[in-house]
Amino acid sequence: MAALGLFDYYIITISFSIAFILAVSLFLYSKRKRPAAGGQVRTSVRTTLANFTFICVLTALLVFYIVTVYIRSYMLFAIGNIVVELLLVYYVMKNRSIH
Amino acid sequence: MKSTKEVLVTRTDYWSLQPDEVYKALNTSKDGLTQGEASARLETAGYNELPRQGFSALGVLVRQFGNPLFVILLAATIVSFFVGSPDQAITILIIIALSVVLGFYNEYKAGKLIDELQRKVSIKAVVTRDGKVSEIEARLLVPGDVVTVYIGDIVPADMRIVEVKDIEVDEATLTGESFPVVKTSQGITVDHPTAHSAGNYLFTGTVIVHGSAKGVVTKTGKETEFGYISKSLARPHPQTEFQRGVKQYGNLLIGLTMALAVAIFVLNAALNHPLLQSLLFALAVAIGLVPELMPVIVTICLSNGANNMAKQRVIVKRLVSMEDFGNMDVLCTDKTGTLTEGKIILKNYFSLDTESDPRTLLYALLSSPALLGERITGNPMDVAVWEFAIARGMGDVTKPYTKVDEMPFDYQRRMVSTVVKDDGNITLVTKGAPESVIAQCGYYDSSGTSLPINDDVIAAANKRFQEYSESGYRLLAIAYRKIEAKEAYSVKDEVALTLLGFLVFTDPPKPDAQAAIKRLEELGVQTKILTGDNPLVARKICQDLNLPVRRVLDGPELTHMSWSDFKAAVEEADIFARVTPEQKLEVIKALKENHHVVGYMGDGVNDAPALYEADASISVDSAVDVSKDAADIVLLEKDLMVLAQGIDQGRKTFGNTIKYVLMGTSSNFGNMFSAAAASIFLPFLPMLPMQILFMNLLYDISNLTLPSDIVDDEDTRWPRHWDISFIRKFTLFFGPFSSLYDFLTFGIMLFIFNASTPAQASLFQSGWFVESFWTEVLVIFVIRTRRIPFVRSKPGKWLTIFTISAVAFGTILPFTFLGSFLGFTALPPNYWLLLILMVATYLLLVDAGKVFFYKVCGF
Repeated sequence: MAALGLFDYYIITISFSIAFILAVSLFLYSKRKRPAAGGQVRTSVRTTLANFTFICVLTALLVFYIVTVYIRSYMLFAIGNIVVELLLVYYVMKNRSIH
Repeated sequence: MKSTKEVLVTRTDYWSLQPDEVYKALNTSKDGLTQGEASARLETAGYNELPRQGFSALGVLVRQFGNPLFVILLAATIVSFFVGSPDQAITILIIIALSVVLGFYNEYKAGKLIDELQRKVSIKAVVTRDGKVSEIEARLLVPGDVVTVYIGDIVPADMRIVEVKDIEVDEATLTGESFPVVKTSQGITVDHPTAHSAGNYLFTGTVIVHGSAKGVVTKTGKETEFGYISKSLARPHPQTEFQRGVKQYGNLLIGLTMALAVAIFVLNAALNHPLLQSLLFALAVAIGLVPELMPVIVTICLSNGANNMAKQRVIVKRLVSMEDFGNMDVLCTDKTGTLTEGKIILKNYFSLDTESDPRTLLYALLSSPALLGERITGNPMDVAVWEFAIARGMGDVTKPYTKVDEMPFDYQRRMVSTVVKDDGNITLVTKGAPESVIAQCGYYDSSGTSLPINDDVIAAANKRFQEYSESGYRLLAIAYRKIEAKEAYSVKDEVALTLLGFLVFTDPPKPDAQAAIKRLEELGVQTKILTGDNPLVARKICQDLNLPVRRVLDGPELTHMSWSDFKAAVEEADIFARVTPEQKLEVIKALKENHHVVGYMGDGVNDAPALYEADASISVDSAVDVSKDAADIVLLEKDLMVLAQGIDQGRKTFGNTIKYVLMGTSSNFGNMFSAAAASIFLPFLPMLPMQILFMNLLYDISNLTLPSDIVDDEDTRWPRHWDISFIRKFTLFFGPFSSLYDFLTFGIMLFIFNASTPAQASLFQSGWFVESFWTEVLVIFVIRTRRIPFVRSKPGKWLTIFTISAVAFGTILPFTFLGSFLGFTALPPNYWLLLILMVATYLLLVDAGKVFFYKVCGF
């Protein structure tokens, strides 16, 4: 088997990081606090998808980071980051809250 | 080791002398020492205090080296010095030294602060000097001083008793004896008596539980018996919930760190990386992970909080109790002086057949300790009776009477009796709780005649008692008995009494008590009243204050409950009336077993056991010594509004401590994890050991201002508890974000800036150092608040200044001489553009992660 190159290691580690975050997210979601006794948990597909918006952003980031580093373009990296940031700003503003 | 039972009381045989001889032997008199003589003796004997333990500059310094990782790293530095790179070894050593100095400075400063705060809480002693009785600080007592002690006092020095009045002393701290012992003023003939057999001595630290006594001080300070054995008797405070949490967290992290360090070293060694370099790198990663400044941060948080609380006139005697003070969810409190004014006034008095019957007032005055001109021993009802009489020109009605004897109040009898003589007639006058007094009555007074008591009279008396009690008044019954002359009287004479009438007292609620209770409720603290008063009085006060009452439990009712019923009952009840000191203690224990963080606020001798047991014990500066000594926190103002402010401060302190913990477990942990992973596949170290240590030092410095950070209002609204499960989830979720961006930086440095060979190691390390430092430090602004987006929470001024300054310093470092020395190199302009964008994305991603963690998952 051919020895792994640095780029392979890079893909493995960054993918592992995101896979780990996804796994932990699923674990935490399964352990999420339920409403008090008698309350109902909304389990519609739409709600579940909305809850996982953040996870989708992460997965997209994985692809984006691998591609930009692969083509070695810092300009694409910069533009992509700005787009992601705008998306994240929209997401946090939409979910703004005081707990 | 010498047992306490073998302790010799003194090296001079004052015990065998009679009282008059004691004065002579100690060169003093009944008028006490002169002020000049007392000052001279103070020069010789020194202050009457024990050396303070647990705080010394040397001790603080030694503790800085207590972390085993420091020792390991020092050893590795020495090895490095002789075998590897001396420059690197010296750099690591300097960084370690800086960490130690920083830790020492902050811990020493905090220690000094708490030491000064403790000195504000002084214990007083009643002393006779120059023939005048006055109250002085106990630390100023000298041998030969004549001191009077009363019920509730802690004995301030070793004393030979010269006058005694039914005194009983709790000597448990000295002898281990559970039951109080009776003392005498007469000489005893025992050779070399022990503390157990020294029946005419009072020993420092013991507690007067009954009666009063006058004694001549024989020994002070460390010369006292308590001074000799204080070390072996020091009873450690049980660990607070907060202390247990910190320890649990520290152990978890140290275990993880050690495992990671060993794994890094083994893997690097297996991949044929240089052994010494691998060892130093593994140790540096370990140091980077261990929250070595956590004790410093916690101490600063606590001492800052204590200082702020002192400004609000709340003195924290024991720093670690402050977190529990803030996090308590149940506050048990006595009633008098806390919810009420604490100033009792005599509202009315009556005999069984006459309103405002003068004889009732006369007998009330006769049964007051103020009768003989002695100081009133803190019983506010005596004060109220005298104030009432004097205000109406009736202060001298007792002049024809002479006091013969007295049986002081105690918690079992719940009454006090005085024997007085008038023209040869001797009368025993008893005043006390109506139930207790009526139970001892065989007769009742009808226009001056004693008639046998019957059920109708008792029912009528009880009816009036109940009517007044239901209106929130407190009643004492007055009874008397003509008695024959004899040498001594005792409580056995308190029988076949004639019931005369009642005194009606009131202690009005404080004007701000209602608002304070409402504020406590808003803070999530449930208030429960534990009182020796009757249930009706307690209920009426609660109604006046709008304090919801679900259930009232009476002391006798509690006696018959099983422990499981008791534990269930304490949850439902809001008022515990007629409870003994032991029952107060049991209530606290039961609530703690029910997983509450319990505060107790009291000021009486009967509150001391409960104060010691509570998670957060609160007393007031005017409390009896034993209560003040048992308490962790002393309020200089006895009102609940101050308490609410203190709780708020305790929660802020807890909030800032948790921020440091969350920082350490998320970004810091992520960084070190990525360093470990990268060291395996890179052909060079991702960061040099001294670079990791330097970053760790900068990071710690930026965190030193965390204790002064602003805590969001919503974080102080409810009691919070140390939750290891929450911290674990937080680490698992947010830690990898930091690693993700570290790996991304690796990719950029390796493939965009081509820093992939050992020759380019310095560029790679510089790039990762700056990115890692930016993310590690700046993420505090996101993590410190639950608010989304994080900009909705304003950080503290100093935290902002320190963090920004630290980031600025870390940014220019690669361009400086110091940077070159540490192995850094200048970074290309494009790097900075990518860094800004990448860090912005990282911070936004963590903020978005909070939506999932807090909002979706509800943690």
